[in-house]
Amino acid sequence: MSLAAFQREFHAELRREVPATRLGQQPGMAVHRSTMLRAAIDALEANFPAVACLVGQAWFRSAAAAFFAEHPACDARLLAYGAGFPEFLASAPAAVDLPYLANVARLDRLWLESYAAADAPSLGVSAIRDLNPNELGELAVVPHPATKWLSSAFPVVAIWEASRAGAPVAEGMAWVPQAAFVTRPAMDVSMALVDLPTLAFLDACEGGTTLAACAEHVLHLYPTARTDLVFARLLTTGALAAL
Amino acid sequence: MTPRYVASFAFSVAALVAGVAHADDQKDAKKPAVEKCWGVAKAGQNDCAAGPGTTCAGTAKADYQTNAWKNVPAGTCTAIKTPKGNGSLTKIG
Repeated sequence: MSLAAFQREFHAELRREVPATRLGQQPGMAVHRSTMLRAAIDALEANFPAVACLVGQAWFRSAAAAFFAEHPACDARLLAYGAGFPEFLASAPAAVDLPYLANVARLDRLWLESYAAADAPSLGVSAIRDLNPNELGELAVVPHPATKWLSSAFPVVAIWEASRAGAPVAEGMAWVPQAAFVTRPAMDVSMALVDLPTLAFLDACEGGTTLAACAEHVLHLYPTARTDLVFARLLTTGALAAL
Repeated sequence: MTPRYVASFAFSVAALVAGVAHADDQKDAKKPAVEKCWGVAKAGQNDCAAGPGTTCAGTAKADYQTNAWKNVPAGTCTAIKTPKGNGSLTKIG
């Protein structure tokens, strides 16, 4: 048997409940199966720290094992494991009492995606300071690869922040919808609250469009919005990239 | 180009120009810049580049590996002392 064939068989046997080959019948396979499951659960616990804090270790690890049964890790980089975990939690019957849990999981995931996103130069003030107004308006932009956002019906940023620090949420926390804005200025992931006009700007440029089109979209939806402050914040947080 | 479009384009651009000015004013308050510093990361704590066979961030196998780098505040790299010598702004070896 070639090495590649052996590895394929080994991998297939790891996933089987009932061994189908002599290789799978070896008692040592149980150790490998258990190691693989353990590594996946550990990775999820490390990748979703706010969720783990909210539900406790025992609940989290049993949910992680159930997730692994449906979605085994298929990338050697365990940092990337768990893309479907927020959706899994959203539909998990055991999590119906925690309707905000899936959104907290999405923030954990967005943090990781921002952290691991490709490097790219951000659109900064120095690059556009000397453009005339028309050139500025016609400049095409996209969100920076490390820029992520999420709008939630729950105070998800407050819950995420407290849980990420391993603390209970603040007493008297206002139960209001919140939107989250993840950026990576100076290679440091930052999670912040964001207003609806800024989300509208980001939505407008998601597929790549001109700055004027983004600003018009914001002003169309929110005629009284301070579009200048929205744009200034996107520039200082490095949230945009020139197309 | 319709007159309606001209008006809203001008209005939007005015907001953008004001935004650039605001951002320009805030620039000084930004976080300090970082620089890539080679040879100072502890095992598993590098930000990237640890040589063939590794996937990147967090993969340095040994402390102070010279082919792994970590982001440190700009201007501090070469002053960082490790048991294997000072940090370097270029990849060592």
